[in-house]
Amino acid sequence: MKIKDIRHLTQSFANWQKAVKSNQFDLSEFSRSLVDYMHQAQTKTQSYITILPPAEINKKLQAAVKSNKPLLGWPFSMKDIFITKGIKTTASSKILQDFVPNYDSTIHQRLSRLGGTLTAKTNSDAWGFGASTENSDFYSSKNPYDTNKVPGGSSGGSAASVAMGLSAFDIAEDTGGSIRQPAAFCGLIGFKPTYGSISRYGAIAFSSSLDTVGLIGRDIKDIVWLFNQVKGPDQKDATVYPDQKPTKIYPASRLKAKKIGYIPGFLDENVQPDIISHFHKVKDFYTNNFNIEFVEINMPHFDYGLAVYYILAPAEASSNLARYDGLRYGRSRDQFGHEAIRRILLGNFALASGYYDAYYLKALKVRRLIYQDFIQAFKKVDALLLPATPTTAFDLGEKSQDPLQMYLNDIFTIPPSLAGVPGISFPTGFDSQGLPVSLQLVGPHFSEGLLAGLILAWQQSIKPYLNYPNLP
Amino acid sequence: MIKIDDNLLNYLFNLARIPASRLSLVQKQKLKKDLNTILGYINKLNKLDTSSVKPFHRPYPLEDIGHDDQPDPSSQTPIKFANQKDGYLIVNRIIDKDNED
Repeated sequence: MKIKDIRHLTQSFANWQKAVKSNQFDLSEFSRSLVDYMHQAQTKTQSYITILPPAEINKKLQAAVKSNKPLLGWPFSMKDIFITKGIKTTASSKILQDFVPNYDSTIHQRLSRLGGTLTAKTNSDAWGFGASTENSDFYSSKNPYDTNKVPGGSSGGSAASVAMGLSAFDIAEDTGGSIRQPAAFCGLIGFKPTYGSISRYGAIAFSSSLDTVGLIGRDIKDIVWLFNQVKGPDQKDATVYPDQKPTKIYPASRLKAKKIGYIPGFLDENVQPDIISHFHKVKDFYTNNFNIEFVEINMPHFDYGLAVYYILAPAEASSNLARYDGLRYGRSRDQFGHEAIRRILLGNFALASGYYDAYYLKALKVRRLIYQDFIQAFKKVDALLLPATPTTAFDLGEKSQDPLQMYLNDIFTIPPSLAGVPGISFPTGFDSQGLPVSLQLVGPHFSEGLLAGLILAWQQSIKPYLNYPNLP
Repeated sequence: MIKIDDNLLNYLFNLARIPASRLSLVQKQKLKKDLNTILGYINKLNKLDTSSVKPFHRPYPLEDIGHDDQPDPSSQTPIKFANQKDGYLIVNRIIDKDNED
């Protein structure tokens, strides 16, 4: 099959469903071609840790179609931090490089029951620690729009695979921006729902008060449909919010006269001019088409988000990673990569007697101030429009030697994570170098329907889901 | 402002159960520099008076969930390790031959 035919099938579920129902293509030929393209892409973008064999993919596709499962075999990838029974699961780390689990994560189990077909496990920064995939213990992934640039991170391989049209969607996890930032760098929708929406059972833990399972995809309608299928209570995860209602995308009529806030101080010297001009383009679109009022919002503690995050996240990570003790998973702790060691030491520092009050406790208190900023903001406005990232995709190696510069890349995605509110990054076009530009909409807890309605309206105007890089 | 020196760095390695001896001097110096840069940035939190603020742990309260004990069939998939042989895990020798009984 030609790549354009594969892309047509992965672009939207409606395309896939129509083609499957009318027998427009041969499933086994599709499986072979898809895997061929993934291997071809791997030589250029190194997006994958594991690509499943075509025979296995074909078997699952045939079974899902035959039994008329809701997803009809629609092929997806997963970040390699999700436990998959019988399939190697590494967290892109050397410590787990040979780990083949004998149980399944809830999210993989649910998607399998719905008839989704897992085709690949994708590369990321090891344990989710990073914003570029350069901290993978195996190799750095590349941005398919320009292989000299990073695809973002930590879920960089995930975003690259969806961007090339080789995954219909990807299941990833966002702790401080790991879904929204790579999706932004690769021109996709990065969907981080409210903390506690989707079960994390079987997601290799990084920072338990922040880790949020979400999706990277092309079409907000498909993403919300999938979200409704996989979210909700799980007896194996006490952090899932129990009383979740189905998310309904707001129709255009309900967007009229809504209020959107923005933080004026964050639209100046630290943000790439292309992103600021896209911000105004989107603002004008909402104002002109839906009479939406834009309101300046003062969030005095937003700027402290990064400092809070780099105490709390390493502290929780140092505890979560204590289980890799060299016995239960076989490999010694000196095999942690440089960034993992840095974060484990930082976490131990913040939790150590003598430093706990000044660092860990202080960060917990400032986290409340940030949370209150969001609660106060959402009394005045329905949502916030923010940049997703300060710049578009940066060069490989540009920030890898300077951890603080790398961390600063998450300055817009971290505060919503600390407050546990949903944030969705969405593509707005391209910059002068031809790299994707994105913005981010943030709303109150469980406001995904409103955010998705706003994004759907924008998506219908510029159709970003039709954009593809030249690879593979 | 707290600076991480060699002593504190070694203390943290010990707390973290990471053998510092396996890292080169250059790696350790880089780690120390990076940690001090990060702590320098984090110190901006001291500008805020938080004496009357309660710590915040999660966006909403956790509720315990429970379920009845239900036996599941045992997994038929054996756990695979790279370093296994005849059902045993092969690990590095930790006792010198001289010290064997």
